[in-house]
Amino acid sequence: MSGQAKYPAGEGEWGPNDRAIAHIDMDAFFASVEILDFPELKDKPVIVGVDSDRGVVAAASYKAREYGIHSAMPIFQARKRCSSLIIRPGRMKRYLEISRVVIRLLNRFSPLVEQVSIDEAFIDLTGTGRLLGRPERTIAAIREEIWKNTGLTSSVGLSTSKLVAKIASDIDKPDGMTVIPPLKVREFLDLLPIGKVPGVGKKGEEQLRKIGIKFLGEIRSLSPEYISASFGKFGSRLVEIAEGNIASPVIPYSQPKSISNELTLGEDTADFQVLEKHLLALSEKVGRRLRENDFRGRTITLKLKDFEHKQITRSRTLDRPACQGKIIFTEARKLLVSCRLDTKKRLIGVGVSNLEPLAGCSQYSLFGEKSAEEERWDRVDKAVDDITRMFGSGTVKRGRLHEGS
Amino acid sequence: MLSFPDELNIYLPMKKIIRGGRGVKVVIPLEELSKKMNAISSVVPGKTTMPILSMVLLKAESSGITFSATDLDISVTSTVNGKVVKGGGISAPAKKIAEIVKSLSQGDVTLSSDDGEKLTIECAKSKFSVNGRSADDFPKLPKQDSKTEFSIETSLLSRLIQKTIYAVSTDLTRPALCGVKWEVDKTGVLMVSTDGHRLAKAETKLSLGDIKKSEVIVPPKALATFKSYAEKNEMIKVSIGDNSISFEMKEVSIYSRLLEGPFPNYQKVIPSNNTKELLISKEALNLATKRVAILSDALTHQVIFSLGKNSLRLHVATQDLGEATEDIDATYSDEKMEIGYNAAYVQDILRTFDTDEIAFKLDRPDNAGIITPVEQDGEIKQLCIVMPLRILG
Repeated sequence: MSGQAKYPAGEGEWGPNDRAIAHIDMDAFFASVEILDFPELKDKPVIVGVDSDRGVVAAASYKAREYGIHSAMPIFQARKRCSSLIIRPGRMKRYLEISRVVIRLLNRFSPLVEQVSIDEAFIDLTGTGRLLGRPERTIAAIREEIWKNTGLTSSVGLSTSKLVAKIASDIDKPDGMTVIPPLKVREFLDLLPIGKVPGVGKKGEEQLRKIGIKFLGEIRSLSPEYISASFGKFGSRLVEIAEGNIASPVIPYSQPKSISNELTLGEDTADFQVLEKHLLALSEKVGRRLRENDFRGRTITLKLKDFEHKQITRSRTLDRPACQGKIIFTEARKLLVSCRLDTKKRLIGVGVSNLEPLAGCSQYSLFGEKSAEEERWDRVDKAVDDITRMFGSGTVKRGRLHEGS
Repeated sequence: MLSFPDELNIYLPMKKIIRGGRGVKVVIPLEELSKKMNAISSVVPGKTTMPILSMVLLKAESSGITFSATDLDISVTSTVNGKVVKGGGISAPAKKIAEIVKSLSQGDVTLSSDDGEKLTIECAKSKFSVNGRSADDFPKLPKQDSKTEFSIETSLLSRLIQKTIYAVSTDLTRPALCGVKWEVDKTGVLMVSTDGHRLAKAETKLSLGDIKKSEVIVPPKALATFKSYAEKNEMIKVSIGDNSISFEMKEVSIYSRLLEGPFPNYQKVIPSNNTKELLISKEALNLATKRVAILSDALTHQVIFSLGKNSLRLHVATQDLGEATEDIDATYSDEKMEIGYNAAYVQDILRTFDTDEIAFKLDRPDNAGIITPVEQDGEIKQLCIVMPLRILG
């Protein structure tokens, strides 16, 4: 273990009221598990991913990264960069098994463990000082335990918020530990290159550079109104971060019961076509959120509120869980048809409940998994999801939702 | 007076201009009344926009007393043993009448109405007066458009239903799967149902004479209603038309609309090259599945079947819950294999077998498995198909 706290003891102590939050990130997780289980892969360029024309790198070992190979890179490109590349098909079951070991282990130190993905988690150590000692020591112990129990290394960031902890865990990778104590947080944020702020992509970084902002601290020199006006919601979030207003809690995982979206209409209406159009947009959004969170659900619910705030909900349950906007819309539309639009509606919403994980084990079907058309729509959804992730929501939308249509 | 085609009658209760015999009075032993009210209540829809449908129609004629109820898809008329004091009829709220009858302790119950709109219930020293509606307001029971008619024993029909009804889909987006498909011809009756994840087929060879071949989809509520009335074994008449089916029993007649097809081509999905055979005791498998499933995932109910030489190991591992394993003696000599199944599906299937020795015919862990009794009984040939769950990793 090489990790050393970046700040010597004494520089920053945690007071009894300071939050202590750590972000634990397993190093090159899938690839490391492969190397762990198959020692002959040690020090070789290993990636995990499906070796097909459209496959992408799910994880790359540090040796593979030396060739410039990184996650999400198409496999054919990775192969071009390294001729001796070893491609392993994923063994999700095994990765989940190890992930569970790590999470169980974290839970021994604090009940507040939020698993972000299969290989990352936040742990809230606030107030554990009397029981466990200084948080830096606890974190060192956690890393030691992970190593002893799984044979894998992890990189950890420790600070007073999830945001800073997450940025810090990325500083010394692999097998490192970075501590930003309470009194150093302000300085750390001020000197943080703007591109490192979560949520600021390449495009955002470029835009901010254009107005002369290289470091997060410089945001504070501008008026919050100006930032908000120029960058919208994302701008206000930046201002909040720059001011250190970043106290989001560590939430132990619990599966959501439903995912829904609703919209209060600009103008009350009983016009079926107007409501139908909003329903389409809402259904697409709910579908996207389901897919983002790897869920699909069986029960589709339509909610309508009329101008007197009288609310009605209608739902129907499908045999096959869905996460496609098109299916959600088709079912929600049927529900809308069954509602009498005898009063003007002020709010319309659609939700999906009865959720189950998208991945994992699933039931095979007798009459073919999906029709060819469903398969095609799945691909449309996926493509739109990718574009949305890169360029923001609303970049691609259905023709019917386009202004003026 | 306007006349409506028969088909519309059930939607548009006609008011007779001249109302005949308004009053009615019958005396029924409590036990009989309680049994018949209970049975008919199951047909009464829980929620309805037409209040008359929440009522039961009481009719007293020289031929006897009848109760009728309908949800417009199913109509049931059942005879009730009792004394007719005065012939006539009334509609009365089914749930309330059933509740009142249930609360009575013993004796004969007198049901009467002077005006045909208010029902008086008297038993021992209790007296209730319940607001009802005229018998004429009750939807006319439809006429059967019979094309195929045959006689069959209730016990045999019940068994066919029991072996297929569990696999009916509840997905309203695929209405054809929400019923049991019947294929009736002169050689016998075949029933099949599927929800896309499993399939149940049961057939019986009968000599039904020279009848017209008929393929229809029967809603499960009609079948469940039939089963609830079929406690005594008797020969009954089944009539099938284009849009409806009816069951004429000694004391009850049931009428139901049919579901619209097309039903998928089920023969196509019954595998023909499943060569690996596992023979096992139904009882042992059922108990073991029940036990290990306690720790199965609440959504998928996944149980892994590990097949080895003459053994079957059931295994469940659920994150946050734990693990369970059970080994069962079995006869198996093909290659080792791991298949995931939904425990609830397996248990549903096992419940439908009458003999203990059953056979799984398998191919691959991602293919349909066939489950049959090792020895088909003389009366019914039965086959179940279940699709596995995809196992992680």
